[in-house]
Amino acid sequence: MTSSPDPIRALTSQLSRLPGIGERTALRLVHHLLRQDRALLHALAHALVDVAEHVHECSRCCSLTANEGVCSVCRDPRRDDTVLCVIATMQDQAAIEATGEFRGRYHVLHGTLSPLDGTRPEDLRLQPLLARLQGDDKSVRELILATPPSVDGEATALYLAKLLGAHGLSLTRIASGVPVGGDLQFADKPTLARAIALRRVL
Amino acid sequence: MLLHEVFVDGFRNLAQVTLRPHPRLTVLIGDNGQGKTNLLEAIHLVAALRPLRPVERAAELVAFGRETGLVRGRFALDGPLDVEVRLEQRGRKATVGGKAVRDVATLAGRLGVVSFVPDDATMIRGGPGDRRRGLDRFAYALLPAFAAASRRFDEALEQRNRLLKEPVVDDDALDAFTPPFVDAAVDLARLRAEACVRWAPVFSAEAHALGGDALGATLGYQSGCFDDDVATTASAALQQHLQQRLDRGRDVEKRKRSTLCGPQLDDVVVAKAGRGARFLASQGEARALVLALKLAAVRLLTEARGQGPLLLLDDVAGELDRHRAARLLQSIDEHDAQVFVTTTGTDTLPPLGDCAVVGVHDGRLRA
Repeated sequence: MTSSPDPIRALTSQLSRLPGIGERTALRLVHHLLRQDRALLHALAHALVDVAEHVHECSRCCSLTANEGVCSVCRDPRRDDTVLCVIATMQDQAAIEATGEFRGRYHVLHGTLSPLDGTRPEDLRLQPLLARLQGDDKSVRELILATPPSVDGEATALYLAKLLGAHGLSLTRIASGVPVGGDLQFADKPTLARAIALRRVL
Repeated sequence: MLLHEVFVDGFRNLAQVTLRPHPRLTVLIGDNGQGKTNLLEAIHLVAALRPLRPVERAAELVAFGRETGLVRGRFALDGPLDVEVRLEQRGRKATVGGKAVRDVATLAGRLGVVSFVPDDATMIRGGPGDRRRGLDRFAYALLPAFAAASRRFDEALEQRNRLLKEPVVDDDALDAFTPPFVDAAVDLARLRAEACVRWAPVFSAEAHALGGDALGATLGYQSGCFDDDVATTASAALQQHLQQRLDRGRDVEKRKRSTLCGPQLDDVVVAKAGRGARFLASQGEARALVLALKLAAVRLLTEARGQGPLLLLDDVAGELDRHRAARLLQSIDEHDAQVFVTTTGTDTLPPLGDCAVVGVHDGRLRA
């Protein structure tokens, strides 16, 4: 007789693979779940299956969507087709959307270059970006490189700039500097130095 | 700034310990291996928000057989301030009044700690790496921007070195990671240079006041990659210079599989009468010079923050003669610093004045 693996242990081991969750926290979550109404567990399981089966990358911008084919932003006809904002993650896209400041289109790389983490250029959605610019999105005039202002984000923006340099596009990088409403005298030196170096004409 | 109370639970050999320090001087007395230095490290952790000595993982600081440890400090700093550092298997987490601290460097800059441990003699007698670490410890406390700049530089250097260690080096990726490295390198070099410019004259003055072995000592920043004066040259010029040197040295870097130019090669030169102290200093001289460095750090931090820092002295009796220890205590009263001293016996110390003496035995305290 073969015994199936202990379901509690199996779930614990799956949960402990999530970021920020260790073996002990996973076990605590499992016991918490087991104290709940069984209907809630079924609903959770159903939601997981739903995500696994229906969420996929948008065939145009590579963001995640449950829509057939392209996502809701790519579908929106009121968006500006001449400006494309390249971001590292979906969370970054959500942050930019929340500002209400940007009405162009997006492209999600799903990461930044990081030799230490083993993320190489071929692990980012660069080919789909090149294909877009040469195919359906020929009207793009400006590419905003909005990867984070970290070491990896800067390197990714520079790598992209070199890759796309010959496409005749205007390439821009998001600004960084002193916070709005902040006091110059309290800004840290490297940030203030950058704000001076990257000053703009009024 | 005053530390009113520190509570330690599961840190190194300390199970549960509450210490209510004296506002001026607290002497931790006990035999070796009882936990005096561990208590000093716990105070450093909650006041500097990083360990006194570098550790690979936060878990190393947790008491044997425990999952987590914690150190809680009650400070008075323009009002009461409760800081807690929790040590877990995955890392450490700082909270103030129960809320997570997002900007650890700024909080650490407000608190302010100077430590003086036997290892500090490497600042004079060790190699460039030891001296760089000594400078960085001071810069962390003096310059709020330093922690972030140092972290960013370490990351840029590691990323670049990893690329250079690949079997086939991706030149496009190396091109992309070089400007962020240059950027971080210049920020770090300028902050180190600034720390040295401020430290040097005060160090010389303190060394002069100590007299004897320390007389005529000077301190200077020696850049590992710039010929120009880093403190006064514009960032853009420094960036261009380093970028050019890296571009020219690309082939050599690929052969050696490592970044060969940058502030990872910085040095601090402590000299006497124009000659490097590392090669000259006797043990006694080295101790006097380290003391002058620390006294200067206390003075600068007091001036910068308008309040005396915490001063942590580990086994100074072994490091200083009675005359110098007396000078140190005098400086403490001038700067209104709150001091913690570990020692195996008070007979080796000069008259201490108003203080609390607390015994440490087998991870527990005895008043």
